[in-house]
Formats: sequence, C-alpha cells, structure tokens
Amino acid sequence: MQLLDVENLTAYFHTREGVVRAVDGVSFDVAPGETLGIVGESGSGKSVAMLSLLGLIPMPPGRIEAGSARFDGTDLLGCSAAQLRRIRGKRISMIFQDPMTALNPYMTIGAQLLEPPMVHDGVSKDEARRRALAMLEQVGIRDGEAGMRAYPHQFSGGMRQRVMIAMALITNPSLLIADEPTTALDVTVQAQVLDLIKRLQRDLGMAVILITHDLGVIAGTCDRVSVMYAGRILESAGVDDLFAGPCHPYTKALMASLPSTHTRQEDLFTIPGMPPDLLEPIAGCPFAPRCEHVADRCGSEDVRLQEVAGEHASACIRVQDGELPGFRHGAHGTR
Amino acid sequence: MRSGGAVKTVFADAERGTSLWRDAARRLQKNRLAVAGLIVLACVVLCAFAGPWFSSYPYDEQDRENKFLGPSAAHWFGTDHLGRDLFVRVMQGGQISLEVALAATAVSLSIGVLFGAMAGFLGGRVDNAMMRVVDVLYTLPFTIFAIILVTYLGRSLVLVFVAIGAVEWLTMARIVRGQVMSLKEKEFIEAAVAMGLSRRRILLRHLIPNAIGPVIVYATLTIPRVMLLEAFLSYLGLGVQAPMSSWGTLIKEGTAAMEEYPWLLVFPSVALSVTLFSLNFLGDGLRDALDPRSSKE
Amino acid sequence: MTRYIGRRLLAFIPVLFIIVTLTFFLVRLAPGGPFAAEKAVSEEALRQIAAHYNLDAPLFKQYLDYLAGLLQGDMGPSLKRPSRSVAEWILIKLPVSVELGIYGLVVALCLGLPAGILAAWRPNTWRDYVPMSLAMTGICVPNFVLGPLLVLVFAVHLGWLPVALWETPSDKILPALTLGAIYAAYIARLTRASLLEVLSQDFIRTARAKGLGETRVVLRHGLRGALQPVVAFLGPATAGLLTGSFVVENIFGIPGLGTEFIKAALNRDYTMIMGTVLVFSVLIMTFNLAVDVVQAWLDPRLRHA
Repeated sequence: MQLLDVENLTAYFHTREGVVRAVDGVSFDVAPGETLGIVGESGSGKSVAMLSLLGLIPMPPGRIEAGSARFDGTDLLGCSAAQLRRIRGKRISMIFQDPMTALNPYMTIGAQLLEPPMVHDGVSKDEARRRALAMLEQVGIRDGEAGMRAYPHQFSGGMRQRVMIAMALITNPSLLIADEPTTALDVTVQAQVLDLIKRLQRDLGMAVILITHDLGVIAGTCDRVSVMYAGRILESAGVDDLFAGPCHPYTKALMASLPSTHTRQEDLFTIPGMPPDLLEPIAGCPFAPRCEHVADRCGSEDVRLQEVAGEHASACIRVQDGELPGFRHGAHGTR
Repeated sequence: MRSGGAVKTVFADAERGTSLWRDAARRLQKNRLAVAGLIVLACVVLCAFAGPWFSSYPYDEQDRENKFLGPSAAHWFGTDHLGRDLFVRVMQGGQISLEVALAATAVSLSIGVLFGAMAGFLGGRVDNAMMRVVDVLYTLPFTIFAIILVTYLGRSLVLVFVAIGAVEWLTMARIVRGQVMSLKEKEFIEAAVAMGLSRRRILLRHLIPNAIGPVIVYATLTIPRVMLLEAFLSYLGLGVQAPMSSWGTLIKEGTAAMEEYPWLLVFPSVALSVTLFSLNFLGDGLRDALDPRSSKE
Repeated sequence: MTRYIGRRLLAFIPVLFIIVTLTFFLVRLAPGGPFAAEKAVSEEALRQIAAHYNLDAPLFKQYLDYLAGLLQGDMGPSLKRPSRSVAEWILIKLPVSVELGIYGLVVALCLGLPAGILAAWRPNTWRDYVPMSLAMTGICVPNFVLGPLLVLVFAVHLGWLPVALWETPSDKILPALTLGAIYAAYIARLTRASLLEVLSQDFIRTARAKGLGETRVVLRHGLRGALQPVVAFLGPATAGLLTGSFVVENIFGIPGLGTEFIKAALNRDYTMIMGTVLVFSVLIMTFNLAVDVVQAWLDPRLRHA
C-alpha cells in the first residue's frame, strides 16, 4: 500500500494574461520509507505540484483542476481545509529552498520550533521545549538552549536549514517534502544536509520526496526518480535504471548537459531552445521543439507516461513504440 | 561583438522607455476609481474657473435683504450671512483653493527637485551635507513655522502658498535625489560603451521618463495635502482673507452658523471633500499604474 | 542602545537652539508689536510698557537675554495675559492638550489597526473595500469638517453626546474621534499595504506549511513584521496630532495649549509664542525618539546590530 498515491494532478493559474498550465496531469506514488526524487529545470512545475498537494498555492489565481492524492486514506485534493491543515506539518512536512527567507526573522528559533508540537499534538510548553531541544541535538546543533533563544539571522545558512529540518520533523511526520533543500547552500554544507536528511529518514522511518534540478543529488540520495518538464512527468524509474539507461530524450539531454560528463576539450552541451510558454496549450509532446529525435507525430499525438521496461516508464511515444533503438532499456553505458 | 550587444540593449531599452508610458496609461484606464477621480476633478476645475462667468451673481455682491436663504432655484446653494450667493462663492473658493494648491505644489516641487537633483548629482560630501540639512529640517515642526510665517509676514496669497510649499518639499527632495542617483549610474555605464551623441538622446528620452514617474506620483499626492493645509490655515483665520475666500474660509463661516443654517457648512465641505477624493484616487491610480508591483496584488 | 538614546538627546540641543532662534527673529520681524493694536493707550504708556518688557532694547540683546532666561528655566511673562508667566500658563494648559492627543492616538490605533488587518486578510473582497473606502473618507474629510459634522449629527440632532465641555468621559469622545480619524485612516492604509507585503513572503508559506491556523499565521507571524512602517508613521503623526489639536480645541472649546498658541500668534504675544513653540518641539522630538527606539526594538536584526 503506497503512502502517497497521486493521480493526474492538474493545477492551473488563471492570471490576467491567460491560463498558466503549471502542472498538467502528474501522477506518481511514494512507498513508506522510500525516497522519491523529482528532477527538472526551473519552471518545470515540480515545486508547484508539491505545493498544490498541500494546498499551499495561492488559490485565487491557482486552482486544482483535476486529480486525486490519496494519503493514508484521505484525498488531499478533496478534503476540507481544516483536515488538510491537520495533516500539514504533522503527517506531511515540507522544507523549502532558502532557509534565510523561509524562517520568520522576527521570532526566535525556539518560538518557531515550539509551534508544531503545541498546535498539532497539544502538548504543554515544557514538553514542547523538551522535544525541541532533543530535535535540535538530532540535527546537530550543539548548544540547544542558546539556539532556542537565537534569531535566524544569527545562524549560518547550513544551520538555518538544520533548524528548518528540525521544525519539519519535530512532529514525526510520515512524509517529508524537501523542495531544493540544498540549492541555496555552500557545496560543502550541501553534503552535510543531505546526509542529515538521509540519517533522520532512516531513524524515523519516513518517506522523502526530494525536489531538485541537480542530477548529482538524485544519484546520491534517491530510490526512485521522476523527471518533470513543462508541468508533466516525462520519465519515471528506479534511480539506477535511470542512470544506466534513460528512456526519454529529455533525460538523456539533461544528463549530457552535466559539466562532469564532458572532458575538458569538448564544448559544453546545452539543450537548444527554451522551455515552452505555459500560457499556450501544448499539442503533442512538450519537449518536441527541442528534441533531437523529434518526428512529425511528436507535435500532434497525445503523450502519456507508459511503462517501457519493467517499472521504468517514459512519456516518449517514439520510445514506447520502439522507434528509437538507442533508448532501449540497458542500451546505454554499463548495466 | 560587445558593442553590438550593447546596441541591442539600448534600442530595447528605448522601446521599453516609450511603452512604459503606454503601459501606465493602459493600467490607469482600467482603474475605474482613478478615472472617475479624473473626470470629477475635471468637472470641478471647469466649474471653479468657468462657473463664475456664467453666474448672475458676483461673488462679493452683498444683499442684506436676502441673507441666510436656503437653497432655491434663484440661489442654488442659498446665501450666506451677508446675502452673497453661496454657489458662486463656492465656485470662487474653488478657484482660490485650487490655485493655492497648485502654486504651493509648484513651489515644493521646485525647491525639492532643485535640492534633490543637486544633492544626487554632486554626490559625495556635498550630498551628505545637504541630506543632513534635510534630516534636521525634517524634525522641525514645520506646520508651526508655517503658521507663524503666515501670521506675521502678511496675509498675501503669495506668502500663503510659499509657506505651505516650504512645508512639503523635504520628501520631494529625497525622492528626486534617489532617482538622480540611479540615473547617474545608468548614464555612466551607457557612456562607457562608446556611443555617439544621438544615443545620448535616446538615453535621456528613456531614462528621464523612468525617473519622473515617482516625482509625478508624489506631486499628484502633494496637491490634496497642501490643499488641506491651506484650508486648515484659512479655517484658523490665518490664510486667505475675505472677501477672497477659499473653501477653508467658507467652511469656517459655515461652522459658525451651522446649527441654524447647515447648508452653509455642507456645500463648501462637500466641494472640498469631493475634490480631495478625486485627487487622492487619481494619485493612487497613478502610483499603481507607474509601479506594477502595486499593493493591491 | 543607551548610547544611542543619549546621543539623540544631545542632538535635541542644537535643534532646539535653531528653533528658538528662528522663532524669535521670525516673530519679531513683522511690523507692529504686541501692543501696537491697543487703541486706548498713549504714546508714553506704550513706551513704558515696552521698557517694562524689555522690548526697546536692541534685538540681539533681547535675544541673548531670552536665552539666558531660558537656561534658568524662565520663559518670561506672558505679554498679553500678564496674570501668569508663560511657564505657568503652559503648566495649566499643556496637560489638557496632551490628554486630547493621547485619546486621538488611541482612536487612531484602535480604529486603524484592525481595519488594516481585516483588509489585508482578505484582499479584494468587501472586507477590504469597506474599510479602505472608510479610510479614504477619513483622509479626504478634514478634521475641521468632520468635527462640526459630528457635532451636528450627534450633539445637535441626536443629542447623544455633549459638546463644548471637557469634564466627563463622554465629553471627550467627539473631540478624540475628530482628532484621530484621519490618522486612523492613514494607519489603516499603511497596515494593509505593509501586512499584504509581509504575507507574500516566504516565511509565511513556511508557517502555513507547518499547519498553523490562518489566524495565527496572520496575527502572530505576519503582524510583527508589518508593524514597522506603522510605528515609523507614528513619529510624523504626532506633529500632525499636535497641529490637528489646534483646530479640534477650537471647535470644541477645549482649554488646551493649542488654542493658546493660536491666540498668542494672532495677538503677537511674543513670549507666549516662544514658550509654546518650544514645548511643542520638545514633545515632538521626544516622541520621535521614542518611536525610533521602539522601531529598533521591533526588528531583532537591528537589535543585535
């Protein structure tokens, strides 16, 4: 039984300039205790998808057009706001990219840490303090007492992210959504924070959805991966399978554009063109204009995520029909 | 290749420069309150300046037989304690109030723009010293000085609006200085790209509209403030003197007789308030139109 | 922090000096003196009076004498109301004005803050439009219009509230409302804009992600950051409340210092003008300083700077 089962999540923004199709029919699931990575460029809709799950997108322009998200018996997209609020921060927690702006600069760390247990679990202030101190120690902040009295601006970026993690995990959620948790941090600190997340995940037995644009982070931490582009999932697979043999031209291009995959002599590879304008409805495959394997049918036929080899799924209709030999599962690199 | 890229930027900027006004105009049109304000304001101005020509009563003609008459077909707003037609007096008052407000705004604009532009342009220690002066002046109770000035240096109209303008120029100076400083920086960068004089004109045509925006907004919002200040001074008996009366004076007269003859208070009050409303709506609208990140979103 | 306060207090002195000097010379610049308008007084008597009040000495000497007096705490006698010295008049009248000012401030905060918060909570709904329209009315209807109108409605026609008295609490409602209304309006607009700005920031999203109720998010997380511009506004607002009190005291017949100031200005009571201007300036500067201190305290980032 999956912990979270998302089907056809569709979220549009109705703005003055038109309708922005930010998330268009996204489906994925997460098993208890596993780590799902969602990778994509900026603007691919990965953050919006997670925010709309939790009801955190601004609802006047934004609207959930369709879909269901079953979490432990409740449909997150269909339940009442009060129910959703009880789940947010208690059973599903989310941490964000920039810990400097994500923490309230006018409140002490302690005050912000005490809120989740007091509001969700109804514990007394003393009990909440105990939990907060214990959590701070778990995330590696030594002087917990001093930390509680401090303000966010008195901490470094890495420590602030640890505090965010502590705040998210203090209620022992079953799922943690981490939206680019390391992007705003120094490289050395990035590894520390990712290790921390992995360790806590093990200790607390929770599942993690990790959103990132960095394939390297995916490789090191995730069990399964979904690749998003223009509001859709183009490929989904176990992490080893994905790196051994990507089954979508976009994924292949993403991997090729990693600087580390080139020798110093070669020119750096960039994907030509630009991501599509989400104001316009897209016919056919969203990646077609930039794809090096594009065919005529790619601009008109409906595109859907489908399994091509075992649990490895791709939305490329040419790969699905076996038209692209280079993409057969296992055809790239070593297995 | 570098200059080619810069040429593209300059032309793109020039395009953006002109469409900034069109964008702002479009946004302003959509703001119904601002448009309503503009229309009402136009009506008020028309009535105030053209109205007295058409009225059959001069504003200072007294008619003691007919004092304290209520509104009627002969006297639309009734008459005051000296039998003068109130409608024409309100129109005339509008002229005075508007003129003083415009003049005072012009005074504060001039002082503020000169001061701020100098400080921003010269920069360095001169700028520091000038801004320090502004800071000190900011703490002085200016309105009190205005009262004293106006009381003592005579009740001439000119002095009234000089005094009022002198109260309001400080913030204008700060705004202009800020704009000039950012303008300076841009010009410097553009000049570094070896361009000819004709390019400079494009820059000026693009940069100046950009910089003028906040100045226009603040000036539009200053007008109602100085109008209020003038009315306040007149109410206290320190501003415009009879028989030339601004709305403030009329309101003062109306207050004295308000229990029995409320229309003497109501009509000039409504005239003043409506004008202030339309000016404020227009000013707000301009601010929202010129700055896309409006607080309404 | 104490050093900052100390420095600011020291800065009072040069500013007050400028104010005293400016006022002193401005006031004496005008043609005619305090007693020029008196009709029934002979030339000889005028000269005697002038000598008595030191008005025939050279201007600069008068100035220095006045400064010397100030340093000893003597603001001189009131030229037109000689029964008491200026200082005595001030001591009698000032508390009334201060009381009125405080009520005005209370009205401004108690009406303005909730209105602004409500408007920012649900922008672009009636909860936004109604308070903001009322606020616009508050800005566009001057206090000398609002006051008489309120009196017309509540005292004359409805007879609910008394007027022209300053004793019982119900006497003080209308004046306080008249004085505070425009500031309530500004505070409402300011609070709305500031709170909207704060509510769009990332840490509000985090607070919601924690599953906190919207009330808590807006009031506990949002308001703290949003108050800063409002507090900053309170500084200049005092000057406004003060000058506004001149009119309100006039309308409601309140025996405060504002009325005295206007009377003194019209009567050319030099010493009275000087005294009141000095007192007002000290009040405004002190309040501005207090406001700056509160602002620094509100933002923890500044507190530790």
